[in-house]
Formats: sequence, C-alpha cells, structure tokens
Amino acid sequence: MPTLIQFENADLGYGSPPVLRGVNLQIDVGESVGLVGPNGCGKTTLLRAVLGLLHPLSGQVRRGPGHRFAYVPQADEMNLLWPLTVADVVQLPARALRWGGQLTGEDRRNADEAMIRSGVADIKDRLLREVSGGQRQRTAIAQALAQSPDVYLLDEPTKGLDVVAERDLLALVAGLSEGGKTVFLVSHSLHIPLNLSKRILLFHQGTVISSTPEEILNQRRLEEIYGVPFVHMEQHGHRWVVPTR
Amino acid sequence: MSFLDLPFMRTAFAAGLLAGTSLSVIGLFSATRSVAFSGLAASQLAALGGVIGVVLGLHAGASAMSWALVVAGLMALAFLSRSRKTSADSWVATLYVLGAALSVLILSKSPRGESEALGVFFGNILSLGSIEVWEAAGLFIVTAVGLALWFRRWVWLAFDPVGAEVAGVRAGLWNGIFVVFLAAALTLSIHIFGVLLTFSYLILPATAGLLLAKRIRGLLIFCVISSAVVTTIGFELSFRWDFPTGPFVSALLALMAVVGRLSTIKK
Repeated sequence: MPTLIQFENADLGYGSPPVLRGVNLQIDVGESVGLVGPNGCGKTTLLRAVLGLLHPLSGQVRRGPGHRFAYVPQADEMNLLWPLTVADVVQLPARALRWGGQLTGEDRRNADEAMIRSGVADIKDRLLREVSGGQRQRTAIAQALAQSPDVYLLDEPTKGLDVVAERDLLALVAGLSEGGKTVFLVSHSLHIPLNLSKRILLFHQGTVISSTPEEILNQRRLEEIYGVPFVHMEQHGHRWVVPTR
Repeated sequence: MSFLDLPFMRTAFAAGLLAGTSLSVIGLFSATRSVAFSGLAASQLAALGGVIGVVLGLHAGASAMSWALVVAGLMALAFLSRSRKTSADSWVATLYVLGAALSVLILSKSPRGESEALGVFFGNILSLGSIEVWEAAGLFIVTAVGLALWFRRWVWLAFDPVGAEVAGVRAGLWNGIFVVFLAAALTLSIHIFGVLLTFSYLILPATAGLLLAKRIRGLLIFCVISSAVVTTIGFELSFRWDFPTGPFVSALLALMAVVGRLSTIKK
C-alpha cells in the first residue's frame, strides 16, 4: 500500500516544550488506526499534524499527494445555534464549496446515500439541535461520507453516547474501514480501537507508541505505559482491557 | 402626518432600512459565535477611528481610520482570545473599554466634545444626506451579493471550523474576507447610526431569528423582514411621540428579542 503520511523524528506542538517529541511513524493508505490516551496527551495534536493544520516544530512530516480528508467532529463541537436540519448538515460541504451554494444532482445523490447508510434518512428534516446525541454523531458521519473522502478522521465519536448508541455507531465506523478507506479514530478508552482498528497509537508522556491490538492485549505492555495492572476480557468476539486495583 | 411626508425623514429612513437590514444578516455570524459583544467592541473601535479622524481634521480619512481600527481590533481579538487562561469575552470587554475610553478622552480635548460624543455613541440618523443613502445602498448590494455567493461557506466555518478547513476551505482567507467586510459595514453604519443602533442591528434581529426560525432560509428572511418592520415602526412612533429615532429603534429591537425569547418558553 502507498504511504499516506510519514513522520520522521517530528516534534509536534504549539511552542516550547513540544506536546509530542521525536514522532517516528508511517501510516499507509487503507490502514485503520486508533489513537488512544488520556485527555491532553497529544492525540488532537497528532491529528492536526495528519491534517496538515499543524507543522512540525522540528523533523519532517511527509504526505502522500492527492488524498481527500473528512473530519468527523465530536457532537458537542458542532455549533447548534444555527437552525440546520440533518439534511442541511449533510449537504453543507457540497453547498459551501460551490459558488452560490447550489447542489448538483450528484451532490444530492451522495447526500441521500450517505444519510441512508448512516441511518439518518428518516430524520433528515429534523433540526440537528433537536435530535439525540447518537443521531447527531451519525449525522456528522453522514456529512463525512457525502464528501467521498479517502481518509476519515473521527474525534471521540462515542463521547457522551449511551451504550446502545455507542454500539450502533461503532458498527457504522467499522463499515468505513471495511470499505478500504483510511480511518483515524481518536478515543480515550482502549476498548473502542481495540475492536475496530488494526493499529493502535498509544500516547504516553509526550511520546507515541505504535502497537497492534495483540500487543495491547499483552498486559505487561500496558502496565509499563500506564503504571497499573490491566486485565483482558473477551466475549462474543468483543474485547476489553480494563485497569484493575 | 407621517414621517414619510418630511424629506429628511425619508432620507434617514432609506439609509436606516438599507444599512439596518444588511447589518441584521451580517450579524448572524457574530450572534452564533458566542461572542456577540465582539460586534459591540468592533463598533466602538469604528467610533474611535471616526473620532480620531474628525478631531485630526481628516474628514475624508475618518472612514479609513475606522475601518483600519476595526480590522486591527478583530485581528487582535482573535490573537488575544487564544489564551487558555482567560475567556474570549474578557478580551472583547477589554477592547470595548479601550475604544470607549479613548473616544471620550480624545473628545474631551475637542471644542465641540459633548455634541460630538453624542453623535458617536447614539448617532444622528436624522442629519443624513443622499451620500449616506448611496453608501447604505452599496452596503446592501455588497451584502446581498457576498451572501448569495458564499453564505454557506461562512455557515460551515461557523458550524464546524475544523471540518471545513480539513475539507479544503481556507479558513484564514475566508475569515479574513469576512472581517474586512464586517469592518466596512461597521464603519459605514457607525457613521450613519452611532454605536448603539449599529450594535442593535448587528445582534438583536439575529438573536430573535435564531430563537424563532426553524430553517436557514427562514432565518435570513426573518432578519431582513424584522429589521425592516421594526425600523418602519420605530421611525413612525418616534416621529409621532417626539422621541430620538435611533435609541427608539434600538429599544424596539431589544424588545423584539426579549419577546422572541419569551415566546419560546414552553407552558
């Protein structure tokens, strides 16, 4: 697979000291990558560097050419003051990128298909601020789908969702990876990328540690990073690792 | 007798209608960014520019001075608000205080300070001429064309700035274009209305519209229609009851926003 992005000894951040030091990573097209770590550990910083919104303080970041990115924000990051319906939100990028905001037939088809695939077609005329958190997050994913990107970046997509909404949403995210797209999934909890991602980036004390899900299940590795013992559970093909007392 | 029977009132009404409806739509982007008072701070900086220009005798350059101060002020606000130790509102207040205090200090050294101060803060809409009407018409046309072309782009930047930037919208460029446009609108409006009515048009129709409108198109229509209707009523009633027109229209706009909020409270 061609390289999507390569970090070479990159220091990333907003000034001195950097948030992340000496990042060495190569992400290939089509990979499914989970970014895991506590709040403030640098997940968003790396994401911004992947997006090209943040340049390295030192070192190099090389991007493969011609990839289209779509960002799926956290539900509470969206500005709900605007009276936008679910359909408005899904169509917004296409309208925004065209002079005069007029949609083409293809734009409408893409938006309709994205809403069906994300399970929000039946609520498309409801205001975004009046639907549930899970539906709002699905709408954000539908907006990303409608842009037909090569790379999806999902920032804490399950934050604030109840367990059923989380399950349904994760099934939708899994479908993105299976379609051969590159997926970056930011999460503060381990079990979500553990079950969805082929590679997991653990953020710890200003460094990024690249692991496979199998390595994550190696409890000694987690204990080294987090300093507390973990246990591993598996049921019906779903895996969890949780810290113990 | 109606206010429309008097030529100077007709002139003031035309300028008020054109500039007021333009500001009410532009104001949507201030009202939805949770820093509505940035419009007030920017208005005050525009007034400061006007004061400096007038006191220095730069009558032709007063508008340019206002425009430059608003652009500089909004850029400074964006920079200062990056601090994680203070809220953006604190810096909005700081810029407002700076603009207001410097305006008063400068006017205190002017021979006609008191009357000029009243003009800066409350405007004198009834003293307008045909030039101001043409300027307001220009603002109306530029607003209509700008929003017809790029309204959704600015909505996306306000709704989900990171998502828009990731998809290729150059946020710095488009926000910059908006700031320049807003500065021009405020500069012209301060000259016509003064700070109070400019800020009222900028924030209050948008606030009521966001409360009541169920669709984006309805929101735009509400802002334009409501500011036009309130302007008309305000002119007529202030004329009949002999009140100053600018503050009267401001009070009606504020009343509209409060009534809008009360009407959304569920029984």
